Amino acid sequence: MNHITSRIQDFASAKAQSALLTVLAAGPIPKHVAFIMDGNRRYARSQHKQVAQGHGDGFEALKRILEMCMKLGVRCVSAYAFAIENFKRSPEEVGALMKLAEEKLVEMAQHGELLDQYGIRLNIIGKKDLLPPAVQAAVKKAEDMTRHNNKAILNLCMSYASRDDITSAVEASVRASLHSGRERALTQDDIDAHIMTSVVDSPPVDILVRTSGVKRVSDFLTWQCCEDTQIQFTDCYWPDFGLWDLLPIILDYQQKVWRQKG
Amino acid sequence: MISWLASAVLYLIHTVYALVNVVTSWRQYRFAREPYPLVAERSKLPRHVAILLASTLEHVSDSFEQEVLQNVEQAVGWCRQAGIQRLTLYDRQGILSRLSFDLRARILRVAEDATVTTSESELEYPLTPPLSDSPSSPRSLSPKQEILPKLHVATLKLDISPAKRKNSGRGTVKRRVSRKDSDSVIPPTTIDIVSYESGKTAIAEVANALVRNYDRNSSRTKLEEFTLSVNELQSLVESEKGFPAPDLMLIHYFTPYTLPKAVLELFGFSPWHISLTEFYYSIYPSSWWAHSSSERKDTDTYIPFQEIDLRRALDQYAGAEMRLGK
Repeated sequence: MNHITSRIQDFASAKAQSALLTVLAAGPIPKHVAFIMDGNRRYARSQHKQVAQGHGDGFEALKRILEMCMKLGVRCVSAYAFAIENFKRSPEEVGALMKLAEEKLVEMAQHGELLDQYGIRLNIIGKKDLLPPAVQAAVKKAEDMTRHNNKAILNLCMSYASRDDITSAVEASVRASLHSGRERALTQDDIDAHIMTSVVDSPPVDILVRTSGVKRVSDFLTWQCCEDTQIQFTDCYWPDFGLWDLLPIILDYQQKVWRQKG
Repeated sequence: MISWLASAVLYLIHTVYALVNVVTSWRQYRFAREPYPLVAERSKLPRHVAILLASTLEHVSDSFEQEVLQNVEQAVGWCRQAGIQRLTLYDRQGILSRLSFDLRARILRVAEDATVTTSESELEYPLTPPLSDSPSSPRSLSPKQEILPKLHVATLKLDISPAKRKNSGRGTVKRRVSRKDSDSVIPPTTIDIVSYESGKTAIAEVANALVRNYDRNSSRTKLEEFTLSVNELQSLVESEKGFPAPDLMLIHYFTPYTLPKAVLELFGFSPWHISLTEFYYSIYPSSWWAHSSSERKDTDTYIPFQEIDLRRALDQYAGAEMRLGK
């Protein structure tokens, strides 16, 4: 009986979620939402699990939130999976994360899975040459498998840091200017064209969300988020993040859009 | 679901949400915990604080100028009392930039024995020697002479110097505080006034300077591809003519906030500098209550930044845990 009750509960809750997402979609929806998926390790510790399991739960949360965003009509999602700074962590943890990436990237891109279901093109963004060769191979494979998808975009930022992003963009802009005979002075739009998210045709970031209560952006998408972006800090750990946490964030966005319209 | 029904339910949800925010805002306004005093034993103190004066208005009138000056003067005083060594001030509209001269005068008045040295990076510094008379002789350039980019930062350095010490030239005077000085030792303070142009625009200026300097460095062959490292770019952006990354940033809305709940935005502040900055802002601005009874449409009211805001921000900073990737 308990089994049946819990199945009914799950069914009802899934229906309620769907209904809520449809209601929200009646108002303005952000085009690009970015997530700093923080708190996997603290979540694991609080659940008396291994840290690696926390990261696994974090990955499941990403799939869950990605699907919610798709149902809501958000066309571009970016997520901070691994920072260049994170290479400083223990070799065991870095190894576990790399292994998770290797497995899950290709799995996600398989026919019938989430990315295929919603027509999501996967881009891995960052200083990819810092990643182990096996992960680089998985990255290339997963990107190739989803390259034809054109309904939505998922930017997984791995081995990423904004200062590296900005530096590469400046370097590329200077090279382009030198090659073209420096006809005119470079502007911020020239730099912007070489920023990693622009290169993969992502629209400007509307909302940046960071979980686990930290009030910093930790070198994530700073160029993209320093102007018209709402930055939302939420206390829950990333694996716990759900529709109930996303709701006020979307409502705040809608109020901003309506207020701007006058 | 039928679209009008969805819209109606959405409207209902927004109404409930607005009520929840009003209630939470009121509870904050009435029952918020008193922060620790300005000068208190905190586990850590930021060396460099930035204050971003924000407004939800598209256009801000000049009538604020006097109030801004007065408020900034107060803020400088509080920061110095708290032991903060560097203060960066920013606003999207460029009010502070326009007032930098007046601000200098005010701060000079405040710190009686202080000398204020200023530097403005509004001008470009071409360090190339004049062209030689003979057109055929090559220009000899030392590899170190480079064009420096315009970073659009005005910097004021406040040094406390004993009244009898003579200035040696226009350089900053080294501070030596004897034990006989007053009890509160106020550290030297540097104040940077930055504007929208100090951010993305300044980075583009750095790129332009790099393009121009590539040519001038005659030791490079034409075939060598230009490369740039993060450290190199950092040394250009955070140079003496620029400003360093702040540890803590306070975002203060200086015009009345129209909703009970505020959401953080950065109003074009330099993206380079905010990588590791701790952000503090009032999620439920008390200005919403202060002005909800009076004319809410009165957009010309200046909401001053208060000492209690700084105290709350310092408390938040002291409680923050920096893991730096690990």
